[in-house]
Amino acid sequence: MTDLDLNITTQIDRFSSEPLVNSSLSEVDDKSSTSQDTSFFYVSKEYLDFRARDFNTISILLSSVVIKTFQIAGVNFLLEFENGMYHLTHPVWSLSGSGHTLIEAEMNLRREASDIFDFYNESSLFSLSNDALKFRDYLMSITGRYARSER
Amino acid sequence: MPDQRDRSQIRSSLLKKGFIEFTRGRDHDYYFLYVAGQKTSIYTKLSRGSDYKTYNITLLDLVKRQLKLNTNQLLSLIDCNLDYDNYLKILKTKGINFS
Repeated sequence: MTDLDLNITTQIDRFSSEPLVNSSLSEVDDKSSTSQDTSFFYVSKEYLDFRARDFNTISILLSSVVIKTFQIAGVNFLLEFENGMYHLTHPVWSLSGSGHTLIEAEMNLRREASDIFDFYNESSLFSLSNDALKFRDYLMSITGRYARSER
Repeated sequence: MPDQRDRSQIRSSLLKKGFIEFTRGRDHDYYFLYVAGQKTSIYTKLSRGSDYKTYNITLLDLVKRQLKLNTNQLLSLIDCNLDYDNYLKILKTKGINFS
C-alpha cells in the first residue's frame, strides 16, 4: 500500500459517514451546464470514487449525488446516478424521469410530461398555484400540446 | 424498519397530507399536493397493478424524488410522523414556495 492509498483509506474512514451531498451540489452548481452535455462523473454504492486533487485533498463522492444539470426544452433538470439508474429531476416540479441510460431517462420524463399534461390543462387557471402555472406552460412546450380555452 | 410500504398505506397517508387523488389514469392513480386550495406542481402516482401492492425501496425511490423528500422523510410521511405543515416546511427549505 502506497502512502497515497493509505491516505485515501484514512480519509474514507474519516468521511464516509458524513453527508457530502451538499458540498457536491454546490460544486455542480458552480459549473452548471446549459447544453446537453453528457460528460460527467459518478459513483455507485458499490464503488466509491474519490478524486485526489493533490495528495492532501481528497474528495469522496457518495451515491445519489447530482452529477450534472441537463437541459430539456429550455429547462434545467438535475441528473443523478443511483443504483445503476439515471434520474432526471426538476428542482421544484415533480416531473422526473428514470432509465438505465440518459436517453432512456429523458424519454421517460417526456412520457411523464405527456401523461400529466391533462391534469393541469383541465384545471382552471385560478385553481393553479404560481409554480403550477409555470409547470403547465412547460408541459405545453415539451408536449407540443395546446391549452384548452380558458373558462 | 423495512424499507417497503403497502400501497394502501401510502395512499392513505398522502390523502391525509394535503394530496388529492385523481383516478382517471389507466395504470396509475395520481396524487396532487394542494396548498391554499390550489393545485401545485408537486404530485406523485401509484400503480394500480396487482404486482405493486407493496412498494419496495426501488418504487419508493421514485416517489421520494417526486415528493422532494429523502428516504427517511418519505417513510416518516407514510408512517404519519411527518404532517402536512412540516412537509411544507421541508419543501420551503428546498426553495419550493407556493405563496
